[in-house]
Amino acid sequence: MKIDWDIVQTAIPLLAKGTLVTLQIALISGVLSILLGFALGLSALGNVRLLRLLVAGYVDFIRGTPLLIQIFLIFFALPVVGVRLNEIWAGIVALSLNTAAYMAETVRGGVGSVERGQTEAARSIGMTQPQILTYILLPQALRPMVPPLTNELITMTKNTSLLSVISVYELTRAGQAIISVHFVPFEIYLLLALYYYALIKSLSWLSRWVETRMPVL
Amino acid sequence: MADPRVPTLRVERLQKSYGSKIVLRDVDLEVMRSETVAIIGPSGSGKTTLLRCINYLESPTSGMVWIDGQPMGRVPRGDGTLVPSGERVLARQRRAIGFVFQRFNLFPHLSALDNVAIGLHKVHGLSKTAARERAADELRKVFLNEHLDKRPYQLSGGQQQRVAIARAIASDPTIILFDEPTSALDPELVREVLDVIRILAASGRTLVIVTHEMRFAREVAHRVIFMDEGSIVEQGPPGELFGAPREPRTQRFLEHFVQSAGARSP
Repeated sequence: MKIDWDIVQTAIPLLAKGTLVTLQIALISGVLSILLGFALGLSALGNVRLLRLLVAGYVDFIRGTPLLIQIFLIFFALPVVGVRLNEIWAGIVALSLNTAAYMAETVRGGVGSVERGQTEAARSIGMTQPQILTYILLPQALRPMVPPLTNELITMTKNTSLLSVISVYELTRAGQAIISVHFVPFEIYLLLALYYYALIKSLSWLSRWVETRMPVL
Repeated sequence: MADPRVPTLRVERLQKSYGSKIVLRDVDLEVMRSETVAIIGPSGSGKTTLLRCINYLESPTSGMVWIDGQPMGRVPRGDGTLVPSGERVLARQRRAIGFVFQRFNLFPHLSALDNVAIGLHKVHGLSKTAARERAADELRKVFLNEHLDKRPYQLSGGQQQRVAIARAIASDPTIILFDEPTSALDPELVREVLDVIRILAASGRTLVIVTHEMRFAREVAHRVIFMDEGSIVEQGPPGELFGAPREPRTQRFLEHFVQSAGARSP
C-alpha cells in the first residue's frame, strides 16, 4: 500500500481544526454530564420516591436505546416541540444526557458502597441526609469513583464522532470532508485514529493525575 | 432543666419485627437522670435492636420512645395527636442521644479531632474554631490529647472507640447509648475503654450500656437488665441480679457465662 504523503500534509492542519471542535464538545459535554450525573445519582439515593423512579426510568431508557438514535431524536424532535438548537448544541445535549445516565449509576453505586455504619454514625450525631451525603459519604466515595467516571468520559469523547451524522464539523466530519474531495480513505482514517488516540491518552493521564491528587482514605 | 421526676428515657410497649420474626416484644423501660443501666443477655435477645430503636436507627414496628418527656420519631399535630416525623425532624431529635457503636464507625477521611468537631460545627452550629476547641477538650477527657491529628487507621481499636465516645458526648446529649462498646476490641484494649465509660458514669451522665462484660456491669451499673427472646426477663440492682437471680433463664445465662466467657472480664 502506498501512502499519499501530500494529502497527509494537507490533512494535518484541517484535522487539527476538527480536533478543536471535538475537544470543545467533549469538554462542555463532560462538565454538563458530570453535573447532571451527580444530580441524578444523588437523587437516586434520596428520600423522594417519585424522583428515584424517574431517575431509574431515565437511566433505563438511555441504556436501552442506541446513542445514534438519541442524537437524531434530540436533533429532529426538539424543533417540533419548539426548541431550536444548532447542530453543535444539539450534539452536546445528546451526549450529555447520554453520559449523565451512566455517570448517575456510577455515583449511585459509589456512594452506596460506603459502609452502612458511616451513615448510621452520621445520623447518630444528628446529621440530615444532605449533610451525610456532603460531609461523610461523598468525600469517601469520590476517589474510587474517578476511574469509572474517566471511562465514561473517554467513551463520551469517542462518541463525539457520531455527531458527524448531524453535520457537526468535528474531527470525524472534518476527515470525511477531505475523503469526499480527494478520495483517500485509508490515510485519513488512519490519521483520525491517531488523533483520537492522542486525545484519549491525554484524557486518561489527566484522570490519573486527578486521582493521585485526591486524599487516600 | 428537665423535671427530675420525668424519666430521661421511657420506652413504652416497644415492638420490632422483621417480617414474621419478632425481635422485640412489648418492651417497657424507664431510665432516670444520671442512672447507668447495663443490658445483658444472649446474642439475638434483642439488646442491640432495642438500642437502635431508641434513637430510630431502626424504626420500631410499634410502641413509643420518650426522651425527657419528648416523643422520638413523632411530631404533635395541631389537635395534639402524634404522627410519625420525617427524617429532618428525626435528625434534630437524635441530637439528644449519643450513640457508641460496636465497630466504632469513625469517619475515615477525618482526623480524630474533626471526627468530634464535625457534628459540633455542622449540626450544632458552632464556628469551625469553636467546634475544634471543644472537640480537643472532649478528646482530652478520653486521654487522647496526643492524637488529635491522627486518622482513625493510625489509632488502635481502643483509641478509636474513645474517639467515638468523645464524638458521642461532645454535644452533651441527654442520654448516651453504648452498643457492646468493647466487643470488637482486643482483650488488652478493653480496659482503657471501660475506664472512660466508668468516668462518664461517675460524672452523672445517663448511660445505657449493652455489654458482655459482666464484671464491669456489676461494678458500674446502678441497674442491670437481663433480656432474652425480645423481652426484659428480669432487672434489678447488680448485686441482686448477679448474686441471686430469680428467673431460671437469668440463672442459666449467668452460669453459662461464668463457665465460658467469664475469664474475659478485666
